[in-house]
Amino acid sequence: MSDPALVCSSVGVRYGSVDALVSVDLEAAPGELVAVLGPSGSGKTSLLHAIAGFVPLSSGSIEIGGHRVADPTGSTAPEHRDVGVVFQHHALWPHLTAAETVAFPLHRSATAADIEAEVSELLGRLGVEHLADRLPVELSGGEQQRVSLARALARHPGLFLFDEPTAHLDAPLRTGLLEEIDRQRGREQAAGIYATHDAGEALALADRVLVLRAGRAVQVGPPIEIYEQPVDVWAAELTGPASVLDVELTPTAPGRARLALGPAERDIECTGGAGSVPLIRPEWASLGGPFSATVEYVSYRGARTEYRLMTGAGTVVVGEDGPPRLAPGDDTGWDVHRAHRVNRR
Amino acid sequence: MVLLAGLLGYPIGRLLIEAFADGPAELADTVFRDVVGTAAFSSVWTSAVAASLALGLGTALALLTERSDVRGGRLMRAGVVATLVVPPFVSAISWQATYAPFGLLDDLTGLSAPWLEGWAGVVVVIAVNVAPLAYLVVAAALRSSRIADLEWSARASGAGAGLTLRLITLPLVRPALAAGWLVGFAASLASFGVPVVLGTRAGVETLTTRVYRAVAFSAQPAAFREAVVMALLLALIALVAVMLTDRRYAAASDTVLGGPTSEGSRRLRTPRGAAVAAWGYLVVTTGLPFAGLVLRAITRAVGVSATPANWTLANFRQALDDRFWEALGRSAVLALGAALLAIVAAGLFVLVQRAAGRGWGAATLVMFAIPGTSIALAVSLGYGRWLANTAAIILVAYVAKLVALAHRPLAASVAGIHPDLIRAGRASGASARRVLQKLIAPLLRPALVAGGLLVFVFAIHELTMSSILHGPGNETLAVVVLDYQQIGDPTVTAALATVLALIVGTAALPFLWLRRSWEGRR
Repeated sequence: MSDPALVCSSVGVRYGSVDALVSVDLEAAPGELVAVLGPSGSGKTSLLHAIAGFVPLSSGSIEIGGHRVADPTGSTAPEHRDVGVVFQHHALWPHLTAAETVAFPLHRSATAADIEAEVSELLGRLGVEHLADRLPVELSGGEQQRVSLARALARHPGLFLFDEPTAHLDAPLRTGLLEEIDRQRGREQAAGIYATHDAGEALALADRVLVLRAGRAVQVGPPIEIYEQPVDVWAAELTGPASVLDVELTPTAPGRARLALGPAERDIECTGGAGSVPLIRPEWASLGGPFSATVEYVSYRGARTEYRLMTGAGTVVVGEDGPPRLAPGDDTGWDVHRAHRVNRR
Repeated sequence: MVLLAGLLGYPIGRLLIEAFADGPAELADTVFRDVVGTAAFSSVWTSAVAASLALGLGTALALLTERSDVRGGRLMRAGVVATLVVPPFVSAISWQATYAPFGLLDDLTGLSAPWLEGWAGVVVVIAVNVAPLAYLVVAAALRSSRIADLEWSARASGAGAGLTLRLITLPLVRPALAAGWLVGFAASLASFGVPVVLGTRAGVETLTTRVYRAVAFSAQPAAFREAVVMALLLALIALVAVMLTDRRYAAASDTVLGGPTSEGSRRLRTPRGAAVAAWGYLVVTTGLPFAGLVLRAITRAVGVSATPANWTLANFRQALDDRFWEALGRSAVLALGAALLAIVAAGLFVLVQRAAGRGWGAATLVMFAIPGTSIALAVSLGYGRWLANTAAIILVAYVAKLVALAHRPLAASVAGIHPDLIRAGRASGASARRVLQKLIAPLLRPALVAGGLLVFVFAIHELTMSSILHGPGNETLAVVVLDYQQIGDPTVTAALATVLALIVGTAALPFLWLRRSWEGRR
């Protein structure tokens, strides 16, 4: 198990004159799940297609399980790569039943009885054994995606590729399927690349997250790092609300800085280094404190409430547990205990 | 490309060469010669009137099936569409047997329509035959969910049903109305069976019947020259109509008519009497004429009351002679051959289309749009010296004309296969070959079968092209029927037409069934 499950080195993909991917590096260790996070059109699907072998590379190289499978001079056919793919729209073949679909990838050298046993084992693992004889049109969205997951599992690949598998499912189904994906992949001890535009999914599921913007990797790291120390405002807003104040931070000690707003100032925890202005997550700030502001907008989110405050240096969003206790127009004090340094927009 | 050149380019080229053979001056002279000018003029005006009538009928029916809660709306839709497979000349013979003097209506009530054999009858029967086409175009536009939403927002803004229809629906489907009219116009222009059946005795001449007479009954070079020019004129007018349709409709369907179609539950109350009128229309145009046809086929002679006392099978005995069985066999083989070749050709067109762009797919539509008369004359000029008086030349014309019927479903089916389905196959460890065998081929099979069946159904009753191309001892089924009709043997004609209608109906049944199972799958 010393070889990484996947190594992408400066991978580039072009469609005609359009660069879909530019010099993307990505590695996944056996058993590791890497989420590829980006808005639509950022190149997530292109990256998965390059790994699966559906599109040729214009530059760089890809190794799967220690074997070179693609570079600009050549490419191993998809059927000879050790991958299992779960597609966004399920991609179930309309003329095959669930059982026939899952049997499709199984080796034809196996006996019919073996294949049958394996198929019912796989369908059973995903709780859809009773649907074995149904065609895709007779399955619900969630059931379709489970069959599609069983099909990918049938090859017992070393690497799974998930192309937004939950994008078309309702929220409750999503959670169930996500857990299922996590459990099944874990059982197979296989690595996975999970493309999604949903930061919540990426943060919850992945060991590491790769952030893609316009075909380029802008940040790679563990979910906590991606959330707490985004490389820039764009990356920050991809994973949740974030406010940037138009005021310079003054470093005071390693990991600390002084934030001065009007007459008040505060010595706070501070991460990052490249930029000079503070990026503040809602939970890093609180109502009541030395700084003054006016409530501009209040949005109640159930468990918590977010207040958008107008300060002397721009707006800041402050989150608090519980129902709203201020209304737009109210004056309030506020405080912050932590910031992340970024460049101005 | 070779295929396209062989089927279309070369024959039409020969047609052009022949037309210009004596120089442009001679050509111009021919165009403005009385016979040609008169035939062209009457073709155009009858087609225009028929298209307008058909559009009115089609739109009314479409509004009824797509916008009202009329009972049996689905059945009505099926009934309207089913009339499309009725061969137009069979339809004309049926009308004759039912509404002309001494027909069924005359027999029952003493009323008849002497005008049926003449311009009026030709126009009305063409319109009725073409109305389903207009219906399909308008109904498809009305079924677009976006238009339904726009209508509802008009209702929500306080407009009543009538006002909404006038201010929102009709303006929005205007491109479809224009397209429906043009499609009807092109189809009317190409119509040969109706004018030849209802017009011959009354001296009604259109471009199609004129060409037929010039080629079939005249040995004069001048008459043939005229026929060539008329065939070109026909093709030209039809192509202009189709291109207009294509441009107007394609632009409109992108902007307004896009979006998934909905089997909307949004239905308005059926206006009183409308349902009765619609069902009455179907009975009068399809049900009664068929009854009239069958009754005439089993009645001893024209003018004798169609009561059981006068019923006989003698007409059928006389009709189903050796000549009939030979022609039936020939038509069946031709239709089968045309179906198979059309499927192969359609497959090639789809491949070329993928490699070289969409334009190639439209080529089949152009071929379909050119009136059969023009195609037949072009093919006869192009291949006559090798294939004259053989069934092979008819086969070439059938494939050229009907390949679109196989190509359309196949192309739609290919476009409907999401690339992920193929990727999923490869990612499941299947080679390209296995993906083709196990995944793509089964998915295309319904379209291939449907396309082939459609070609078969249209080829087995084809009259226009075979009437021009057949040689002695080489008649197709439809030509045999036409011969009896032209000789003036109404009862035997009716017997033959009945048999032909039954054959076509039987051939079309699996198509209807296949279509249903196909739609159910999606």
